[in-house]
Amino acid sequence: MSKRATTLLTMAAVAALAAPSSAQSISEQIRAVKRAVEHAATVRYQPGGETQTDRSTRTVKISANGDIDISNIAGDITITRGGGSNATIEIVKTARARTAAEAKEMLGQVQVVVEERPGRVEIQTRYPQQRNAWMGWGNRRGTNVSVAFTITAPAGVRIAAKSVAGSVKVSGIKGELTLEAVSGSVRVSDAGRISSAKSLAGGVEILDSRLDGVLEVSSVAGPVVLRHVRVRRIEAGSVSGGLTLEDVECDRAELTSFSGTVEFTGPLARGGRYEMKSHTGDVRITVTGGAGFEFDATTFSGSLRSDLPLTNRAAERPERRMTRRSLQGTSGDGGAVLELSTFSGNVVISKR
Amino acid sequence: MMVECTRYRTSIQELVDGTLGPIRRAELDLHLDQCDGCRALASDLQAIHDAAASLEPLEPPGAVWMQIAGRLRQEGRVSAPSIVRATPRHRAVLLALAAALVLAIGASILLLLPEFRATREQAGQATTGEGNATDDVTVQSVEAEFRLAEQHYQNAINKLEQAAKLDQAAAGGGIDPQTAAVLQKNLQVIDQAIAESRAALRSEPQSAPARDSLFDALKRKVTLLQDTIALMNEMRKGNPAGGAQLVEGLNKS
Repeated sequence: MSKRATTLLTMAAVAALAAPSSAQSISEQIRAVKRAVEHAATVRYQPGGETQTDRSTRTVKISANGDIDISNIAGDITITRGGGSNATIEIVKTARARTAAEAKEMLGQVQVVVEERPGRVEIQTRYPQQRNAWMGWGNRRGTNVSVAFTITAPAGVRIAAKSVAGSVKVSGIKGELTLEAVSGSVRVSDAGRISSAKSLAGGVEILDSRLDGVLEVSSVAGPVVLRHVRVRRIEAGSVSGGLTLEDVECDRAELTSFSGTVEFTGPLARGGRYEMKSHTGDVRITVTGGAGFEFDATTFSGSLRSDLPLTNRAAERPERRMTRRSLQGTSGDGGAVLELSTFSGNVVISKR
Repeated sequence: MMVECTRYRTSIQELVDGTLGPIRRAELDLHLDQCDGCRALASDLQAIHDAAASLEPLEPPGAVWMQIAGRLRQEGRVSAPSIVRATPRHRAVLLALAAALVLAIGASILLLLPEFRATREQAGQATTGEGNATDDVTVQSVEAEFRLAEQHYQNAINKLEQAAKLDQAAAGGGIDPQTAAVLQKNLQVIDQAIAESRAALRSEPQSAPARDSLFDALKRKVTLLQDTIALMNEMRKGNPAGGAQLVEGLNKS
């Protein structure tokens, strides 16, 4: 809150207290101060008191397997499957300012550039360049404009989408997807190929997709969730978020988190390899189907548990029974390989 | 010893431990049929394993160190380093420095790490597989390699941290405060992992999980710092109109 805002809120509080107090109890005075502060904050300091909106739609010709490259700063990007060979781009610019005139002026300052090339369209938002205290460039008053894109495109297009402060949502697109958000989330459903889906502060969610190739998915602070996904190989990671893979089929998985729990539920491929690692979080795998596996589980200060009947070869040897932090064994035919490790969390192996 | 032998070293260890599964067992058997060196190594390891089986087991108190570390954190005895202020003039220099560091340090570490891991694996077998004439790496050299690799990581981290912090303190670094806070918080998560791994290694110097954990954490921190500086540059380059400010405004509204 700015210095000026603090001053005015203090004045409001003082004014409330300055009212005749003889008839007021202490609790009434406190309530009066609270009401005054809330009122001042609501009326005077609501960010962007006036809103102006500008809507436009562009239709661009793009082949059935063309490219869309979209880069946005503030606002969501939503892309869904359409028919034909055209892409429709709905652009909604929203400006917030103290007055309607200021908001309208800001709308004009932010441009959306749509460049059409054969089989390719590039979309960018451009903001005015002026000095500011933040990063050397920007609007002194602050250009509080967000731009939301809603795009309908042929199912086979390749998409590269990036939003700094906004979410990226893609549904029904079978072409290759490269998606990135900084403070927003990334959500994909019914996709055909995802080369990468990343967010810094938001979560990443991949749903109901049968994918070709390798899926690379990560977040720094948000959770990573995959549900009903089939892909050959998965590389997923988060620093403080958890990794949850439910009903996921893959030949190879490398799942890493630092403070989050790493969970995998799904069938194992014969000859598949599944590496799951966390530092302080638990590592849990629930095996569905009948495939067997060899496993190697380690923890430094956590516990190891298996709900499955395992042939624990190490335990057959007396000298290995004392190694409580490491467990190796085999279930069934040992067709897949599991490497599960956590530093201070627990490792749990179960079956459903 | 052939280059491809390195991929069978873990399997040989597991073979001796009796934990090798049928698939990798079959692969290893094929290799042992063709490789005298690995067959000798397996034989040596088996002899050592059988001799060691007669020793009394010793359980080091690693978990105790973890409890102490956790209690120190709870009591607030671990504090984050203060942020150093920089003048705007330093910013451009720092950015250039950061970009150079990202390339130079990242490349050197990526080159160094596989070499270190390979050496560690070799030495791990040399210590247990005495009698295999092709392995001449000692425990001491492994420790030296380990410390060298860790030092390289730490140097990289120190320089990247300095560049990122000074840059961020000087002019917002191009990243909005909330995103910067997210990055800072997650760097602290990794710092905690590094501290815990180091504490574990002090109590159990030979602990493979502790070493792996330490290197994973160091590697991840370098990557996150590289990503942070790249994000700062991206925000400046691609969003000269004040993208960070917009991000902040949007998150508040």
